[in-house]
Amino acid sequence: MAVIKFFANLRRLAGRKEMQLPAENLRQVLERLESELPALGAYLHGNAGGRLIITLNGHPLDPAAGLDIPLAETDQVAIFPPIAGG
Amino acid sequence: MIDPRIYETFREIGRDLYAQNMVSSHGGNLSIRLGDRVVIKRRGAMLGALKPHDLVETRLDKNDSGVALASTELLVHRAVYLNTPALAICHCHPRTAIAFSLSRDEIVPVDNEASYLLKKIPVITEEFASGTPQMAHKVSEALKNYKIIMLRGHGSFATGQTLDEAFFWSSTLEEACQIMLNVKLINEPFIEYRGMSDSYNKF
Amino acid sequence: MMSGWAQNILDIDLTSRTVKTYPLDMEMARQFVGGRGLGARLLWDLVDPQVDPLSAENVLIFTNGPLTATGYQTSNRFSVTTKSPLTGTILDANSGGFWGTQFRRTGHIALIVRGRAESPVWIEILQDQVAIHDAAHLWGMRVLELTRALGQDKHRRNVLTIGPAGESLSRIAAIMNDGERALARGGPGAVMGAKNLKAIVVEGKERPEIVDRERFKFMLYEARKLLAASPLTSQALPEFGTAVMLNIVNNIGALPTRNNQQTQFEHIEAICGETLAENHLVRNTACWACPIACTRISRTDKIEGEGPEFESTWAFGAQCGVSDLDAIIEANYVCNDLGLDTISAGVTIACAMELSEKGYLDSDLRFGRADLLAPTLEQMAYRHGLGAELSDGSLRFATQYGHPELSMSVKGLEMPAYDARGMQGQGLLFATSNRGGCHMRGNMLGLEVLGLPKLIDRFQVQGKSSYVILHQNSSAAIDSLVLCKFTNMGVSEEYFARVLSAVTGIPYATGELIQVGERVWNLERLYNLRAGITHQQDTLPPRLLNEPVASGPSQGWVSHLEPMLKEYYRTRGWDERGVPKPQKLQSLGLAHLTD
Repeated sequence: MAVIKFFANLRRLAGRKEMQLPAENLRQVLERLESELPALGAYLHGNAGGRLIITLNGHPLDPAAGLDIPLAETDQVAIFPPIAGG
Repeated sequence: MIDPRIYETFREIGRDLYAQNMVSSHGGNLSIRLGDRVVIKRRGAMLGALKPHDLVETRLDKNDSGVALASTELLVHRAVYLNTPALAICHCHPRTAIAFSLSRDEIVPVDNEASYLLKKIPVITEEFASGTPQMAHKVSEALKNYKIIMLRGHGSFATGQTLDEAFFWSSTLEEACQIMLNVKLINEPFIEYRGMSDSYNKF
Repeated sequence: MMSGWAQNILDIDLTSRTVKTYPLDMEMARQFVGGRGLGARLLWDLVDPQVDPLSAENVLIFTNGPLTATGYQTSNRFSVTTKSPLTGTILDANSGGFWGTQFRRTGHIALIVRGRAESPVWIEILQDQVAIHDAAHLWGMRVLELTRALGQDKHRRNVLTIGPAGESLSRIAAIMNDGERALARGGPGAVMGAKNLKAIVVEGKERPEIVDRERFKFMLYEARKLLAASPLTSQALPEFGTAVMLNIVNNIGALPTRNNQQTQFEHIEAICGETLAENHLVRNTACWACPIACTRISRTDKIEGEGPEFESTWAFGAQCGVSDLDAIIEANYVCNDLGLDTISAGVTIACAMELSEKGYLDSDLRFGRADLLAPTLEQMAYRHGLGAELSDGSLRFATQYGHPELSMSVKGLEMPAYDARGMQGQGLLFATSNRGGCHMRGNMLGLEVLGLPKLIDRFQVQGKSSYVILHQNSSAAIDSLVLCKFTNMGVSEEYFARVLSAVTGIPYATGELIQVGERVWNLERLYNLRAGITHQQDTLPPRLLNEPVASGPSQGWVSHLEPMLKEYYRTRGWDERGVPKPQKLQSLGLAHLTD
């Protein structure tokens, strides 16, 4: 069960700060999030599009690398909306 | 020794350029700036099927051993890196854009994406083959102010912080021109949907 | 017809109490544009690089730019340039709010303040009159009270001031404007205090002339579209402010914690932007002509005020091991009221905390002592007790106690909220920034963390220098316009070049604008070299170079500065000792300055 953490406005959309999900790869994580948390799913599909910032165990993932990244039991996936600051 | 990740990026973008009909078998070129060095396609290599030995690294300011193998266009790429803030260059032959370049001095897109991203693409002329100082100077001067330009009848030169970016502008330009071609085919009155679009050609 | 630039330079000598006005040199304006660039060029002429920054020979140069007050998005910012009493380098700092717009409306592009008044004064710049007033009754006032006392009226009359920290010549003292905005870093407040100058008030009416109004309108329209389309400027910044960065920098293991002993803070949830928004946010607000509105107004039981920003929250939070957000917000508020740089203050306190815990310093300061933040800041501003020693920054303090290596600074300026071991490019940036350890002179955050425009490997070393250099040059150009860097998150430099051309009537290609930045960067470097700051100071604290990160996503990493630095010098066209080569200076039109 990978741990999925949400940040910024994604927490509001997800209704929580984190959850556990059984998933073999990142694609499955996103698919399951969309089905289990519709409000979040709509956002992920909508204006955020490919601009999400996703880290795996603290390492930013290159969107170009695709979603078929395998996940192990103890992996942590952190999802941020498009953000920036100083 | 060129980092394998750099090779991967060249290979993928080269393959996409060929697959999208933006280059012929041996045409076009890609390069990046690494500090004070340039990585560029080897002379005679095929963008659609780049192998690790198809990339050559050489100095930016003068020739070293790498230059023997580098593309004849190295001069242009060097001039661009020395005269503009570019960190990557994509040169390709987008066929619809080339066709449009033959009858106008600037290409002004009508589609949303290219209007948003590019506004206007100037067309410059220099007949003699790549690798001449005149052409290098003209191209680099033009790229000082625009991120993508057309060399009439020849092809596009695009710059970016990364090869991705340079490829993005190139692909957007060709898409814009294909849409413009379709507009001409459809030949119906244009309904303007963009605010202040009459200013685009003054961009 | 002159356009864009305000035409006059106001030159005030506080020693002789004389006021002069003369026209802006248009060739200088063309080459250096305004803001930071113009400030650097004027400082070159006016202040010998060997001068003691707190002496009467140092000069304060306030500048605005050709875009200021035109109404272009974020055209409210202004700059101060001087020689820094903290680092000994050339210093520029810029600030937002409303003062800059009003300053430009007085018809001046620059205000030069020389000498030293023999007793406290304040300056009033009205449309047709400049007056130097006695400030004996104002000396000692805190920033907020003073701002009110001098008649602050957001859109009509604006107050710039130092607080008790500047008066006591704290080398980390800020200059504050419009109450809670800051020219923070490098100690400009001390320079102002050393001149016995308490405040500068501006009231003006002049509107900037714009040469090509049609083109300007087009650029305004495009910027509006671009800023609205960017989720950074249209959603993230307005909703969460900059504090939204805390979680992501922490998540990747690059958030300096407890004086950079760790790179993740276990109590991040207690102090993050999400918690700030949920528990303390009153509303957001904006500077003049800004649609982004990233400013927070936050509240605790004790206070309500602007901020805290990401850096301030981090400096008093993770860097001090503090998880009490109320205390952090109050510390930020107190810093503003005293006129102190929050980053330097927080990191200096963190340094003292480590020295105490290791037994090198006898004090109550320990990581996590939220209750000691505000009291220590008060002590620092008034130079009481331990505060007297902390008041001049972490490097002087740590050196005094025999452990300069425990100051997390570069060239004496405390580093901000990114650990160089978790972001290689950022480390190079800090080591080479002309005013010391600073993230506002370029920022590799976009490329190394956020994927803007594209993600590059934060641990990669080769080839990093070209990105750092591009960002440093671009940043310097934007600082010369003077615009807010957050605009750059939606609007690229090609638009900035075009709006500059539209306003001034002088064509600037995109590359030429960025070259202005390169020119400014090289001039600053030359000044620093003459001030005795050499390539040996292009370095990082030993902790970042030699101590591998103990845990988290950056585990095992140190900063590989040396190869990056070598490549950096070559790429900049400098020699191996980081000195700009004649050829480079020639290409930038700077050769005549070094003859």
